[in-house]
Amino acid sequence: MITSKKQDGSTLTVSLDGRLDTLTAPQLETDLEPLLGGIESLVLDFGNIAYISSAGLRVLLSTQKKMIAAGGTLTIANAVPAVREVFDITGFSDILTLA
Amino acid sequence: MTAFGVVKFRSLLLVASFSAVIEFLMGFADSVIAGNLLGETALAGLNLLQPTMNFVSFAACLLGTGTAICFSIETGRFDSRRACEMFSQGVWSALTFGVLMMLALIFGRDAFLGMFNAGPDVLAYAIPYWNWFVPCAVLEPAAILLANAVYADGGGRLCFWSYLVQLGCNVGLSLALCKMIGIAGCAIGTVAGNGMAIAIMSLHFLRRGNTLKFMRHFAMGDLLRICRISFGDASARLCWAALFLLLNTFVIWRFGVETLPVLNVVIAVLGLSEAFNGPANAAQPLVGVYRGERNTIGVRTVMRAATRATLIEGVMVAGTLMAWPQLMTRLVGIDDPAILASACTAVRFVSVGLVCAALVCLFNSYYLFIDMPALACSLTVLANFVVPFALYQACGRLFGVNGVWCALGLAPVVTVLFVGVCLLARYGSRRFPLLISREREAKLHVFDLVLTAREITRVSSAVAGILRRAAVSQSTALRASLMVEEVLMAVKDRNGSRQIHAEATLDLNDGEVTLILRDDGEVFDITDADAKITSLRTFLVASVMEAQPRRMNLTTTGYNRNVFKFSTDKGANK
Repeated sequence: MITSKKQDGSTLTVSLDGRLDTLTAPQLETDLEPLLGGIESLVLDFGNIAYISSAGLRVLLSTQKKMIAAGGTLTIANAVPAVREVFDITGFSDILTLA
Repeated sequence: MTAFGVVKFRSLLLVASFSAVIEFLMGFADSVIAGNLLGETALAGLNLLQPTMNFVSFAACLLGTGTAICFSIETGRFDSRRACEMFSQGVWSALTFGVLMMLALIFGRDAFLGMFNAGPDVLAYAIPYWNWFVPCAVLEPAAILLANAVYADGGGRLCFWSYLVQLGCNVGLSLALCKMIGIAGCAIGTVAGNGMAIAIMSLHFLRRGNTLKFMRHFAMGDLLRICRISFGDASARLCWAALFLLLNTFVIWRFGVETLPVLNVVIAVLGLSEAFNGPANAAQPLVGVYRGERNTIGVRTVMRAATRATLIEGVMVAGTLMAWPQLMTRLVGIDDPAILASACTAVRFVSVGLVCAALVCLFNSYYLFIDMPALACSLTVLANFVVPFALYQACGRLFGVNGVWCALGLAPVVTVLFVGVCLLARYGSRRFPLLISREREAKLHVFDLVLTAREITRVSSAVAGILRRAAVSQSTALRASLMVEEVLMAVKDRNGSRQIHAEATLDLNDGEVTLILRDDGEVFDITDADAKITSLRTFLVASVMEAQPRRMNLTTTGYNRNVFKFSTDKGANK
């Protein structure tokens, strides 16, 4: 799921790949957990994510909650139009920061 | 992985088979009781009425079977209003036909019974039975129509119980009354049984999930459609009526009236093909719906299972009767050793054809399901009239009475071989015996699964892959894939730890993407955008439903069925 990580100061960019579904979303949550310490800005690169389900949305919501609690931000970058459509339909585009 | 269609077929098969056996026993009950309590002359008297009873069954079947098939097909097309119109049409027609038949029975008795050269001792049993049997002309079509419609609407268990109560009521009352008032008691039991069956099946209308609604609807075109579809099936009764009439006359003329008790047993064995209707009845609502969806993969899957079940049932029953023919002969109370020996030989001969008779029964129903009534009708007429008539006439004259029984046993075998060869020559081995085109199957994908997170995501991912390869827009691919995961996960969540079978069908024919999801979990409408939100998943499902205008839900034969249609063009789903 996580293909690469790039840290630039307190900004961490994590590139993702594949499908964010019921099976893979819990794994992403587990993989992200240890990376969040000391990070002020987390950027998730969705360029290679072709699919997201409610399980993936739940991970994004919980990650954003953790980042805000630590005084940081979460940004979803390069989401493909189809994935953006899911964010729009569900109203997540108003909750998440999309770049 | 067992296909969803097979899982549903198996769940319906037990009830359908028991119901078919009970239906057969009901037809046979009066002969058993009359034979045992009143003797062989009463049995002969009852035998004279057989063609009349077959005609009433023919009319009942003509309306009942066709109505249920039309109901299933319209349900398959998600047109519940048309489905209910067809049901209402059937009800009105059954009542009208019933009253007409009742009048014919009242005024036509003497003319009919006068056709036989039966003595006054035989007529003394035939006439009282006839008089009391008259109300069945109205009750039987109504009972059969309700049974077929309720069954097609997922009320299989209720049908089973109604059949059981009908049999119990028929046998109980017949036994009690037969001792008091003679053979009229048997007829009263039959009438009361039909009445009880109607009362019990009417409970279906109070059931949650019932989609049968009665409407004011009568259209001649719909009546013709019902009759056209079921004529092949119903004509079996008409053929039996004609065959038994000619057979009675032939046997009495050639071998004497003392052969009638043996003939009665033979007719009961031939009637066993009725008991093989279980697999066809179980397959009918499933095939009807798959046909409405034009899902030939589903049709083939269900029919494979139905053929296997029919063969197993046929072999088991034929084997049992060949080993223990007394099961049938003792049942009708034949005590005379000479008649008993002759009847046992007859049962063994006739049993030879039972497996093929069962196949004829199944494929006759199937050709009706796929709207080939002419073929179904030809198969029926060949198997139930032309071939047995020709064979018993020839064999009876050449080999005596055993030649007649042997001919009746061989008739279904000859029919199956003859029709099989004709169909192979006409349609080729690729389309034989189901005769359906596989054209659509290149763009039709069916996934069967037991609902687990792993299986659901596997299918969701496979759906996305297929749509990607078909160059469908990314938006449609994601939405369809999302529907599979979210809808099936919601079904799984709703049903807790219960094992749920499901089927996802992806159809790329007709220039659009159709996704059909069905499951055998708790009945509920997932497409309701106003459904209560209890989790992020139900929130996403509701949001997607709101943005998905082309969606439908219909409870079908007691299971959930949801259809989503997407355009293949980019942005057209909005």
